[in-house]
Amino acid sequence: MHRLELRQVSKRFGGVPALDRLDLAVHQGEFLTLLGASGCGKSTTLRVIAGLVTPDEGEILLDGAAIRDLPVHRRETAMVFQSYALFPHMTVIGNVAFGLKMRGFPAAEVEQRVAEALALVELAALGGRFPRQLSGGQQQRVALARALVTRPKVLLLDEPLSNLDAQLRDRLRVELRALQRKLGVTTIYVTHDQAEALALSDRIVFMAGGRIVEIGTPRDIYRRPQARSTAEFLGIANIVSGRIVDTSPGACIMETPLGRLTLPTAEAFRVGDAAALCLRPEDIRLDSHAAGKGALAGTIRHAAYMGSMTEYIVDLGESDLSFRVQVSGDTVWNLGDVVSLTLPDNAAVFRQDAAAQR
Amino acid sequence: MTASTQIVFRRARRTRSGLGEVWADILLLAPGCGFLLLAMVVPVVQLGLASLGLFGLGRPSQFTLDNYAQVFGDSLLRGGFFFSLRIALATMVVSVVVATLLTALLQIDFPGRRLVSVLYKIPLVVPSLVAAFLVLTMIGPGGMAARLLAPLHVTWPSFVHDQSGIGIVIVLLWHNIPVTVLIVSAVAAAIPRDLVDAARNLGASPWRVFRHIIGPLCAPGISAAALLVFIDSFGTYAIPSLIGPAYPRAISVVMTTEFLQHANWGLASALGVVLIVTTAVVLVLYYRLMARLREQAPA
Repeated sequence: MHRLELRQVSKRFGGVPALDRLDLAVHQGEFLTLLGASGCGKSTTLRVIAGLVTPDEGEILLDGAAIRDLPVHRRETAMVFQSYALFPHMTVIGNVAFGLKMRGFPAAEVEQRVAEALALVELAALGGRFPRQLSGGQQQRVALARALVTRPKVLLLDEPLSNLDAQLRDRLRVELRALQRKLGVTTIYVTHDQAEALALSDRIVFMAGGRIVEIGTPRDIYRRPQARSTAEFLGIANIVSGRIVDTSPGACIMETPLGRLTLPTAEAFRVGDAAALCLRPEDIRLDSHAAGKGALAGTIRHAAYMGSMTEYIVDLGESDLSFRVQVSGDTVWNLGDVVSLTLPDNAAVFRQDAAAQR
Repeated sequence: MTASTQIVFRRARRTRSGLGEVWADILLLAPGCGFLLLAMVVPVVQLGLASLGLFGLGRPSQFTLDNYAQVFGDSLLRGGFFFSLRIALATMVVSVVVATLLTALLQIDFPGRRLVSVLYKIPLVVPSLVAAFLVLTMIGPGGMAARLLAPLHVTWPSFVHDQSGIGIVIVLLWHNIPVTVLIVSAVAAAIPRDLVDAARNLGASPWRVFRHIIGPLCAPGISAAALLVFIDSFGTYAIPSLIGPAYPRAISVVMTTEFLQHANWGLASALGVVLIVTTAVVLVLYYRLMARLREQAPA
């Protein structure tokens, strides 16, 4: 039995579909991320699970029990909001204790659990402060403690790190994941930041237009995206369109502007199918001289030093294509330099029109 | 700039410093501070002095506490003070309660919501005096209600010119409820939606959301509205004058009578001072209460 299940959940806001027949199963203890651009339905999905939004159709099951008609305050979920939503007229202790008080726990237990929760997020010394006296990072931790103290069955996080500066965000990301692993609480995380999604999740659910495009582990979804939109959203994607000219078990041959390429694939293509392949910038090798058979010639159009690596835009001679290539370390090539590109032999292939739905 | 011009400027600056600068500052501040002084400080000071028998109009200046003795000693005047106080408190409490309920009601989407949200604003455009006449016509002695019930041999109770002051309170509510609703609605609207969602998510039922989140966050705004209603109702003249009883008479009515009819400038001033002091005390208590609530941690 899954910890949480959504079955054919749909929601329209004034005729506009926000969620379209969503099917999702969440395992016990997993860290699942809903990833997508603004308006894709990820926050709505979270709010449907919390009960803040009632779906028009479909069912929600928590540990096998239908909770769609259960009011918000009776669901065993806890949410951390993007704005933290800390109660300004209560202290940190007051905020964290609120959920326990609403559920009728005795005062002694409330006190003990609040102290534990604050210790967990390393804010034990700030119990008497008001939210306005805390920094952004501290407020975020209070919001987290407030949610965790109720020991929810599902923890819902709605872009909790988006209001923080980059350094703090990175640090809290690590802490958050460690905390989640330690507690083993089933967590659903919403973000539009693909780097965050890749770093945190056990599985990523990529959404667009109220639908699930693809679900997979971070590695699978990055290395072997099954839809163009997924490939383009997660990281930088050099997309090359083409046509399948031959197939064999576990592989296909594709005619592209770069020539005929043999690529491994689990997809069942037919000859003549329109397809596309995705090349990741770090997988393309650049050399100053012709590297060997199969290498392409190109000219450096742009070079950007980014600290840990340099990103180049390389125009390919024969076609109108240009690739973004990332090379670790300092800048080696300059504008106008002629380079040789060697493509990886394991590029991801997917249908050209794929909005792959699970 | 040439060297000679520089020297001239420097010299000019030196002579303008000191006394000159002080006078320049006074002239610049005169319009603003002058207005404050003339319009606010001087009249109050004059009132205070006149209440003590000093510098009053048409009387020789002589320090006396007789006016205050009369205010606290005369049962008519004391009665008037408490009458005004009762009216103000009743108006304040009822308008805050009704305004809060109406605001809560207007948060819900119900058929006719738009009509209600327009209707409650009507009294804003109706002057209080007109409302007073309305009250007289509808529920006054010989008014429509009385005449409707007469054939049924039911005596219509007295709502105007009566010692309880119910008519006065009704008219004051007519005027103050819409204003209070506007203030309370604005305060309620300022509460972020996220807070309500967070409270519900943490297990609070709708009533508890109101009791623990919306109520406390609205309280400063509601109490400000209450304060305004109290101050306005305590010193109001026109309504008590028109539909108030012969006894007890509201403090403002007594003041006017003493001043205009009896030329008792000193007593009127003393009543005025009592009015100001009472309002000031209420204001101070309000600020103290707000400060204490802000410091406390209602966990």
